[in-house]
Amino acid sequence: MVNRADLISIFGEMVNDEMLVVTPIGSTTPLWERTGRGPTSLTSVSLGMCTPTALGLALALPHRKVIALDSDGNLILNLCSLGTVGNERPKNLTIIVFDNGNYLSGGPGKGKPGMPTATAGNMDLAAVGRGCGIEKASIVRTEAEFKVAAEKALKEDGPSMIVAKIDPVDVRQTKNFREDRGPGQDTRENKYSFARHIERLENIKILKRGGG
Amino acid sequence: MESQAVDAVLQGLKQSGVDFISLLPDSDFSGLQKKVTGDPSFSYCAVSNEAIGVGVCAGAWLSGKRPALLVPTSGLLVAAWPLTSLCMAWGLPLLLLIPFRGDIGDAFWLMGPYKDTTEPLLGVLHIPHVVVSKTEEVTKAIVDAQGSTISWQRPVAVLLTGETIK
Ligand SMILES: [Mg+2]
Repeated sequence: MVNRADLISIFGEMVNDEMLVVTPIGSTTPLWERTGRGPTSLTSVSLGMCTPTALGLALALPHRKVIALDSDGNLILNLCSLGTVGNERPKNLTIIVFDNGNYLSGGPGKGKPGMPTATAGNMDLAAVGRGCGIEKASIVRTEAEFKVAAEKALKEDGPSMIVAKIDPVDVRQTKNFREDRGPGQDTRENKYSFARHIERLENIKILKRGGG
Repeated sequence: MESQAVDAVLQGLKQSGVDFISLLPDSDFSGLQKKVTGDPSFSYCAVSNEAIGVGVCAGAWLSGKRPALLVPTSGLLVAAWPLTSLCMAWGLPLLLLIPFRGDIGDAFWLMGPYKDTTEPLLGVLHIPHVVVSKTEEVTKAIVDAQGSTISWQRPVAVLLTGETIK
């Protein structure tokens, strides 16, 4: 098994400013913010809404790579979004699922896992993805496998899905990110910085003021 | 929905610059849905859960599109969570077009509960709304609602009732 923080820093090295990243609530967002890309990403997206929102970005900007850094509890809440991804087949969308098999945020804390998600039992999210028509869906269990799969996903046409089986808890990070909320944006600030980032990338105007 | 009302909705969507539509295929909107899917003025994404429709529209707006979600009164309840956790928290505009099933005059008994939920729910979600019962008023209501959602940066709803959804 591998650690979420390590995979996120590996992935941070692979992404460039031209790509758009969406992260859900839970420990993925503060870890992603450490890469310095928080303000140019859509972060702390509410439970279950990471992949659906990334799908909207991918459909609206078909020439631009969009990555959802989703997680098991989040994705399972709105699992049917995979059916829409599998039918819309956006070539530019990659879904990475950090699958720790539990609802960490609902856990007792102090390095202990929370209540199990369905993937702790019989659910195989990569198989669900393939069953929905996302043919490029795989499970990775090591850093090396993750690197290979992520490089492939960023290079090739999608949609693609990588289910990374990670440690049940983010032990090394827990203390750190609880003390380190400073750099994180609130939702309003994140809206403006993310939309301004897309305005610059696309040379368009998104934030408009109504006039008489 | 009669074809006149469908045309009035389409005209409103086009006049207001809506270019991205998400919906869960629904009988009240089937005529409209057919026209929307075949019309190159709109990107179209069918979803299997209205909450996902809100997410897709949020991503589309952040990409410079002008989205609208076509949502039944039942699906509005499903969408309530991301309307709160995404649209309300981030301050995201979204035009909601809602056939007001369950309004007074709706003969289908199973729709009754939605009279109790629809307008109060919009109220608690801080989503301003207008109720339109005349087909001739549909286009302007949509144009006005779209202008308001962009200006206010929060969802605005148009409830279609009476002859507009007959
Ligand atoms: Mg989890």
